Parts: sequence; C-alpha cells; structure tokens
Amino acid sequence: MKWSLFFALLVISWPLGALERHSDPDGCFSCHGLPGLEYIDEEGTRRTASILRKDYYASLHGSVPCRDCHRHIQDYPHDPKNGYVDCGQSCHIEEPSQGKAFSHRDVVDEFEQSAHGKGQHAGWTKDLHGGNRLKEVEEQQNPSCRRCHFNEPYIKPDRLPIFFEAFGHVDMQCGNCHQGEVWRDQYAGHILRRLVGKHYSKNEENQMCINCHGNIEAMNRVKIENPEKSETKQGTHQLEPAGPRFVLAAASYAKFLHGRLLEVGNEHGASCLDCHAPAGNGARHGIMRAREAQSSTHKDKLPETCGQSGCHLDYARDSRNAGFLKTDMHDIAWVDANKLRDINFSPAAVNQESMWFAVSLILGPLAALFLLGQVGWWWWERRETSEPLLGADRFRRVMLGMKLPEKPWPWQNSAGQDTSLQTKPDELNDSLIILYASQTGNAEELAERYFNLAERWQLPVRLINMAEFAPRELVGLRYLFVLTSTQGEGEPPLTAQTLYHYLKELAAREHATPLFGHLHYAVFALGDSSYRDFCQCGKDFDTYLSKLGAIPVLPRVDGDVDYEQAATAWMAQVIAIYRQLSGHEGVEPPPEVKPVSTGYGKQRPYLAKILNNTNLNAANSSKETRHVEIELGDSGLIYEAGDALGIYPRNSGPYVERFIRQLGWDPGREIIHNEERLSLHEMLLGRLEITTVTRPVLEKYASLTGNTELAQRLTNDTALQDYLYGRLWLDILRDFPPEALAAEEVLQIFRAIPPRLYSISSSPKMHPGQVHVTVGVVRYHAHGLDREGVSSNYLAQRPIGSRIPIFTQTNSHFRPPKDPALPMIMVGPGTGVAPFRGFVEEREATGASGKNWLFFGDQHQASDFLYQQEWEDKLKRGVLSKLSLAFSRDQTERIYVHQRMREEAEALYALLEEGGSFYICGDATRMAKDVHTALIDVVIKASSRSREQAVEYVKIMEQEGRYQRDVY
Amino acid sequence: MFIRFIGLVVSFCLINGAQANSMYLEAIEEHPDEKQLAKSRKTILAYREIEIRDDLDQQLPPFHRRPQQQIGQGETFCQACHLSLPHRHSLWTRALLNMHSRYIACSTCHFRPESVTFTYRWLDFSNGQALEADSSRFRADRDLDNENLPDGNVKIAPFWQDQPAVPLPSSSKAQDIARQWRDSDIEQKIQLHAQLHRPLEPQGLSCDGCHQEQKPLFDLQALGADLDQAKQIQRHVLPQFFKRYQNKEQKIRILDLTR
Repeated sequence: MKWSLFFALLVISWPLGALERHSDPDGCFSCHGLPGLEYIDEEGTRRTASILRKDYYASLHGSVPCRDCHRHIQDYPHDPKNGYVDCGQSCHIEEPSQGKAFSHRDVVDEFEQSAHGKGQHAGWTKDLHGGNRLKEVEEQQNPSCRRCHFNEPYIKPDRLPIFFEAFGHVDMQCGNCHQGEVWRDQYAGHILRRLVGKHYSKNEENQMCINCHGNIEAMNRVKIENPEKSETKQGTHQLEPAGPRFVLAAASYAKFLHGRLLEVGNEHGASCLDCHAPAGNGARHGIMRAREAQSSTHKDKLPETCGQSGCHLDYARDSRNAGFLKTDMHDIAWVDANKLRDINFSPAAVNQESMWFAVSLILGPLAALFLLGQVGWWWWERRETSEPLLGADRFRRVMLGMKLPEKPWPWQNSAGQDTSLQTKPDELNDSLIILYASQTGNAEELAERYFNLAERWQLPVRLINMAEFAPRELVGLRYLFVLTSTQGEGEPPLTAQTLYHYLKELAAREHATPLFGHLHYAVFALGDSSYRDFCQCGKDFDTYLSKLGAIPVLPRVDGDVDYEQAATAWMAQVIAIYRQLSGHEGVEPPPEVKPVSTGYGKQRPYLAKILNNTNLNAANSSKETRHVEIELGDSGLIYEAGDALGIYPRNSGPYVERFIRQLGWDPGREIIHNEERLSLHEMLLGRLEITTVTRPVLEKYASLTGNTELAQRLTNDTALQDYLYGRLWLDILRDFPPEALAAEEVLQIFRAIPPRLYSISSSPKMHPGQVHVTVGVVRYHAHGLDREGVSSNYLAQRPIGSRIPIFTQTNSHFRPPKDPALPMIMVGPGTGVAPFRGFVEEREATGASGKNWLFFGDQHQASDFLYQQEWEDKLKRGVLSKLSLAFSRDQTERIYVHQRMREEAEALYALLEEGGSFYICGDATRMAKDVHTALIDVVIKASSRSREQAVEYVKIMEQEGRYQRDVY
Repeated sequence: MFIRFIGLVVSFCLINGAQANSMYLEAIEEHPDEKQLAKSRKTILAYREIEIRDDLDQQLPPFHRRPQQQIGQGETFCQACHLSLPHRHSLWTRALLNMHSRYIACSTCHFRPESVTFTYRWLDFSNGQALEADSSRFRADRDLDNENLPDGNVKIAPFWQDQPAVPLPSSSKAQDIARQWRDSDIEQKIQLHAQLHRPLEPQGLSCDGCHQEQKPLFDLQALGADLDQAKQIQRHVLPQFFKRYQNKEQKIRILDLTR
C-alpha cells in the first residue's frame, strides 16, 4: 500500500519525481539533454535541439518515450523528415480508464471535420516538426495542433498543493473500499489530475482563440470556402475573404455580456468553446461554421447550445423565448470604430473571380438607390419611436435594461469615436453609497458618521467597506462617495487593493472607454501632509474614476491629520449635492445634541501613568530605543495584539524657547487660538505643530508673508523637497522671517499637534491593564543644529509615574493568524519587532500551537538586540520556534534580514505551504521592499515557480490575509 | 644616426610593449596565395544573406520547452562576423559544435600554426583578462540542469607569449578590420577574407583532438578540472560514437551506437 502510493506520487509529482517518469529507453537525452545544442538553419531560424529535461519529464508527455512520437528516427544523423510527428497516432502509454494504447485519434478525427481542420488550408495534425514552424506561420491560415497546445506541465505548479491534498484524501477515504494498485494508479491519480489539474480556465481557453482571432491583420488575410460557389477545376470551392464579422469576432465578443463577464473574472460568462464546441458535444475541437447543420451555432442547435447545463438551461429551451436566441453575439456595430478601420475593404481583398464581384457592377447603382431610400427611412424612423418585437436591440433594452443610444445619422458615426459603450443602464441604484477604505480606522470612523447623518436625513444610504465591494457593482450605481486613506509610500490600504487595481488597469488602457458615464462621485482622501505622497490613494481614485467617465460632483478634499473641520464641511456638501441630484429630498433632522462622551478615545485622550521607561540599547550603542510600559487604569481603553497606541506629544521646551527668541515674541503674551486662550509659550508647547514642515502650511505661510522667493521655491517640487530635507519650522522662519507680522497671524496657519501612532508591543492577555510600546528615539544633526523627534524625545524624557495623553487605535488588518495551529513568520528589524512581541505573547497566552518564526536585525548584536533576553527565553521554552538574526555591522559585509530569508528559502516556503502567515513591520522605504522582493525570490527558489507565478502566489497570500504589512 | 634609430626602436617597443600584436595579427600580415584567394572568391560570391528569424518563438512557440536565448553577436573576434552560432552547414555536427562555442574559443580549434606551441587558458572575453584555473567551469561529473547555460564570455583560448593569440573584438585592430570590411567593395572583401582566413583551418579540430587521454590539445587539469572530470571529458561516450563514422554520408543506427 505504502509503496504503491509512493510510486504514484513519484510518477505524478514535479519536480521531485521529474527524473523518474521513464528511463529514456532510446537514449535520446544522451544528446538532447545537453545544454546549448543550437544552430541557425537554412531558413534563418534558430533551431534548438536541447530539450529541458526537467520540464519534459514533468510535462503532459513526460511518460511518453521520444520515439513514440518521433517514431521513424532510427539513425544518426537524423533525416529531418523522420522526426515528423503525427498527433493522431497511438503511443505506448495505456489510457488508464480503458487500458488501451493512448491516442489523440478521436480529437484529430473531430478536428478534421471542423472549420479549422478541413478544406484547402486544413490545419496540420501530422508532419509536424521544428523545421516547418516558419512555413506554418507564413503560409497556414488554419491552426495546427501545436498552435494551441504545447507540452505543458502535467499539473500546473500552482495547483500541485491542491493535487497532493486531494490525492491524500482519496487514498485515505476512498481507499477504504477501493483498494489495490489498479485503483490508485489508473483511476485515483489519473482522474484527480483531470479534475484538479484542469488546465484551462475559460479565459485561458479564450486566449487560445484570441491569439489568432484577435489579430485583425492576420484575420484580414484569411480566405474561406464558399460552398454556394461553383467548384474550381481542382474540385475545390472558391475562396473568398472571410468578411468583417469573422475578422472582428474576438472584438465583438469582448463587447458582449459573455466576454465582459469573463473579463472581470466572472465564470458565468460563456467562453468561445462553450458556444462553438460545447462540453458533452465531442472532444471540444469540432468548431464548425454556423451554416453547417451539425454546428452548435447553427440556428436549429441554438436552443440546445444556449440551454446547456450551467447556461440558460430552461429559458433557452422554451420555445416561447425563441426571440432570445436571435441575439447577435458578434454584432460588429458595437466594435470600436478604430478597429473597423483596420479591416481591409479594398477591391484587392475581394475575390475578383467571384460572381458577386462581377455582379457588383450592376448592384452598385442599385445599392446607391437603396442607400437613398435608407436615408429617407432613417429620417422617418427618427420622427416616431419604433418598437421592434425581436432582435438584439430589444434584448439589450428590455432584458439587459440598457438604454440604447439614439440611432445616429451615418455621418455622425465619426471615425475614432468609441461607439461601443454609449449605453447606460436604465435601472441604476440611486442610493447614496458611502464606500470606505481604512488603514488605521479614521476613514471607517468618518464613513460611519456620514452614514448616520444620511440616515438621520432619512435618505436611502448604504455603507460599504471596500474590501467587500465587487468592482463590477460600479456599473449599477449612480451616486458614489469614496473615503480612503493612504498607506506606505502612496499605496492604497489593503482593503482597497482590489478596486484600486481594477480601476487603475481600466484607466491605463490606451483608449480607456467611459465605462462609468452614469456614475456621480466625490472623494474624501485622508493622509498626512508631512509625507510626500500625501493622500495619493484618494488622488488616484479621483483620477481613475474621472478618466473612466464618472462625473465628479464635488472637488476632491485632501484631509490632513486635523481633518475634522474639512470632514464636517464635506459631509454637509455630500448631503446637499445628493439631495439636489437624486431627487430624494429626505427630511431635515433636528440639530444633533451631542451626548457628553464618557469614553476615552482619539478626541478625548486618557492621561495614563507611565509604569516603566527603559532604554533597550546598550550604553555604547549609537541608538536609543525606549521600552515604555503604560497603565490603562480605569480608562476602559482596550486593545488587541497588532493595534496601535496614539500619543499626543508636546514640543520640546528648549525648541519652543529658541522659536520664541528667534521671532522676538513675548512668551507670556496671551493668545486666542481655536477658541482657546493660552499663553504663547503654552500654545507652542502643547497645541501647535511647529516642527515638521508640510507643503499646505508652507503655502499658507508664503501667501501670508507674500515672500516671492518662498513662493518661487514652491513651484519646483523636487528643489523644494531638497530644501526641506532636515529643516524644521525654526529654519524656515530664519530663512524667510515673518517680518512685522503679529504672532496671532503667524500662528493661525499652523495645524494642531497630531497624535503619533506606535505599534503596541504587548498582548493584553499577557499584561492585563497595561500597554507597552517600543519607540526609537530620533536624534540627528542638520543645518548646524542638533535635532530631535518630537514624540520620541517627549516619551524618552517622561519619568516613571508621570502621565501622558493616550488612546488606542484599532488596526484590524494586522493580526496574528486566526487559526492558532497555523505557522506565523515575522520580519521585524529594529523597532519593527514591536508588534511581534505582542503577537508572540498573545500566542503564548492563548496556548496557540502554531510555529512562530522571527527574523530580527539591527546594527550590532552586542548593543542593539532588542528584547534579547525575552527572545532567547522564548526560544528556549519553544514559544518561539526559530529566530533568524541579521546584524548588519558586526562584519565587513552588510547582512540584512532579507538575505537571511533567502538563505532559509526552503524552510520558509515549507511553512507558507502549511498555510503560514507572513508579516512585515518597520521601514517602508527600503526594508519592506527588500523583504517583499526576497519573499518572491524565496517562492521562486523553493518551488521552481516562474517570477510571474511567484508574484501571483504572494498576491493570493495577500488576498487570503496571510501576508500583512505594518510599515511606515 | 644609428643611435637615433636604436632609440626610436626602443621607444616604439616601450610604448607598444604592453599591446604587442597578437600571433594572429602577425599571421595575417602575409599575403594570401592564389589558392586561398580562389577559395575566398568562391565563398564570398556564393554567400547569400539570410534574414535571422529570431521572432518565430513568439509567433509559434516550440512544442517542447527549451532554453530561451536570443541569437547574439558572440564574444570572439571571429564571431563578430560568424555570430554566436557559427556552425551551420554540417547536419552531422553543427549543434554539438555550437554547444562547444560557448566555452571554447574559435581560435582553439581553427588557429593552430604548425611551428608554434600555444598555452591554453580561460579567457574572459568581456574584459580581456586571463582567468585562473577553476573546476566550477566544468560541467562534467555534475548533475546540472540543461537549462543552465554558460554565458559564453569565458572560454578556453590559445595564448602566445602571455597574450591571447587572437585579438579581442573590442581591440582597436579588430575594430579597424571591421571598419575595413564594411567599407570594402566585393573585390576588396575577397582580398580581406583571404587574408583573414589564410592562417586558419576551416575544418577545425576533430573530437579526439581533445577527447583523448594520450595527447590531448590541452591539459584539462591545468585549467581546473579535477582528475575525475578530466577523465570523464577525455573518455566521453559521444566522441567515441563519432569515431565510428568513416565518412560524412554514413548513417549509423542509434541502437548500434549504444552497443
């Protein structure tokens, strides 16, 4: 039993068993297994005689000895024609379900009766060899077997895990009754491959067709037989150009529902083969012209074809719905006009020997007369609305709910104008849709407030998290209000990834079509103007929607960290504009009486006591990292491992004093700012952000002072960034003094000190009533002065027992694995290790059995190994399964965590394959990018996937929530 | 006067000492004989430009997966004209010889003046540096996937007086020759072709020139191969098969070859 399972796995697995599938009985790989056997043949084509051994053995034909296909090769040097392959011949492999010699004969027979396989240019099924590939490309209009098929992997690498899992299941469960090697080898493995290793998705099927039919230039050259024409002397029918419907078949398909569903990944769309060679109707190679009675697209077969299982089963077979079957699925009227221009209508493209060509001389004048009549008919038709009972227009209007464009005059259909998408659904959802994507919870909290306000107005409103929003829903909406934050370096939040990339891709197309002309929208972007890519995600959404034809009803608002005022104003505007556009008046609610908030939070921080505040670095380190323990007391604040702690810092005393001194202001003077009266000194210490320079505040200052040099600097972004690097407001006020402006005037431009968010480095289950943070203290020297990070230094200097204003912030996208048994791999160099201390504590406290692997790095092991004793203790106790360290400056060559990942590729990949989750925390600019690249490299190295497949693998991890990042 | 002449000679040698002409450049100084000229005339007149179709794989991918590489210019002086896959005519050996072109310089087989004994070393054609012996450059006795191809920059090449016997394609002399070829009419091309090919042996070295134990062309172990690798290369089964052929028209059944 065990041996046969081993054998079966060996045979079907790749690449483990790749070299074992057969023994190369003819010794072909003695030569063809050598690398670099190449030459340029007489046609100028590069011929390669090396066959990649590993790929061959793992391929669909990996069990077939070479001579089963190249069966006449016996001598060396080979006579080329002896290598010719006939795909219809049998080989020495037995078909598992029948025990007969395997052959593609059935497929070939069916193909030879198809439109591709018969006639004067029948696609080749035999005499295939490397030497006639050029001839096929240049002379053959019909596809040979190899046009669509190549020797693919037996099971696609990305499906191997599913296959092994299913195989194990079959052996354990089905094997209770179905015992013996015959069942396992002939049925289990074989059938599973057919099911699990299914090779072509509908889009992949279509791609085979589109490879040729999407090439308008090539299709223009195709000539087809017309059986209605007399036979030539050679006994064949006359050939004529295939015509625009044929040439544009792929383009017209793409415009209809079937193609468009598949384009957005909805498998309910019918593929080309679903209609032209349906399943259950042979071997899916019998594509015939619609005029042939056996064709699945023949008008008499349409009820059966459209009514096949999984399609319009009951509807299409009901004779009362016969009109439905008349829908023209390849109506070229809907194809882009610029594609129509590519069709060759010139006389040279017409078969001049045809009777039609001769008769056209007579028909021409008649056609002119007809056109004259047609113009008259158009004029008449436009006067009164006509209502066709059947046909595509009715189908689109009545059944798909589309509003058809007014029939244009012929001259109105100008070239270059995309006529394909001038339709608008009649029945759009006209609710007020609030769509949000939140990273730290701000956008979500705002969206909920908007939703509540709209409800109080009794307006039809829906609140949707972008993570749960299917992009195709956009086609059915009329009013969309987007709130989104930005993360990392101008990237969308994790929950926005799908919609963001969907819109980005659509908008990037060269001729982006106005898909969303029916959609009214507005965007409120959230960000922090101290970052260069301030509100970038919101800006991108605005750009993409606008490019795709959606109508902006309000200018985009870029909300900074003090977004409250802007958000309230936008909220009022949203309600007003929606009421005006939608016709839903709603009912004005009575003024809201805000209940006195009893809970602590961002708007009402809790003054928490510091229980411990220590430096984690050794005295000789160039760094200082504070471990701060804070008591939550009776605040009622709660958090989970992975959440963040918000802290409202105060500016440094010496900095404020220097600030006041430089400007010559009176520190004791009382100032009124935002309805608060304080001394100038206290205002600068605890209320205003007077260190970090952001572009919006700088613009206000330039406008306030009227300083032309500063205004000039603001026009060149790159030069401005260079100038601002390392500079604080103190430097700006020195370089561009406010001259005679009063303190009140200057201070009104500054924003309030925003809270700083730190990853929490504790688990509430391990430290009830406490919260810990790990903060790297920022100190540097620039422009002649020592500088300090405001918040980190504020924290570093708080003595034990002092109190600081805090709140907790949910970070629901950064959590340990939900399944306690699954592995967790964490990469957190420097202070990036903070949340992982919380993660591991959480898993220890809950008794989670999954493996925990930490990659940590810093400059020196002796002085910068943060929480060294804790990690070593956890490792000893088995709480931490593995600890990989990279200290960059302990040796000449710099070593980083991503290098350690590459060194551990196999082990790391094995954990990912077990369903493990991968986490990164720390620097977004370099570390996170390097680690991301390393993760892809690890997948490539350990699984032999291509780069493209590895990127897809990581993307799937991300979609499954198994790849999470908290980077800054 | 004589002293001035000696001074000139000495200073010329000092200036050019480091860039002494290669053995090959000296060899092509001699005028080709009539036989060589006639041969070159025949070759040049029979030459028909073939458009290299390197785009076929995109239009109709090969059925079996193969290493993907573009046809490059090659690395050696000869390959500047003959490209990276120079052996084209012999159905018998072209693919195998082109495989060798990745790690054996053209001059190793085709440039062997009778009265000169070359030393053979690894030469990095990308920078003209002679490289030390290195066993990792030998694939024999290693189970390497045939997808991993040597990049072709490093090849075994003949050296004479510590200089590569044939100039690098990037050298000024090679560039001069290339320019001269481009600017020549047909008669001048025949002359130049004859001059360039006169010192060369068109047939190159047979397989057992290297694949033998008694007196191989070069010492594999001096180039870095270990004893097992050297023996495996010298006793390789394919050259032994090829020894059975009496003439190029002969065909032998593959099954017989393996006996």
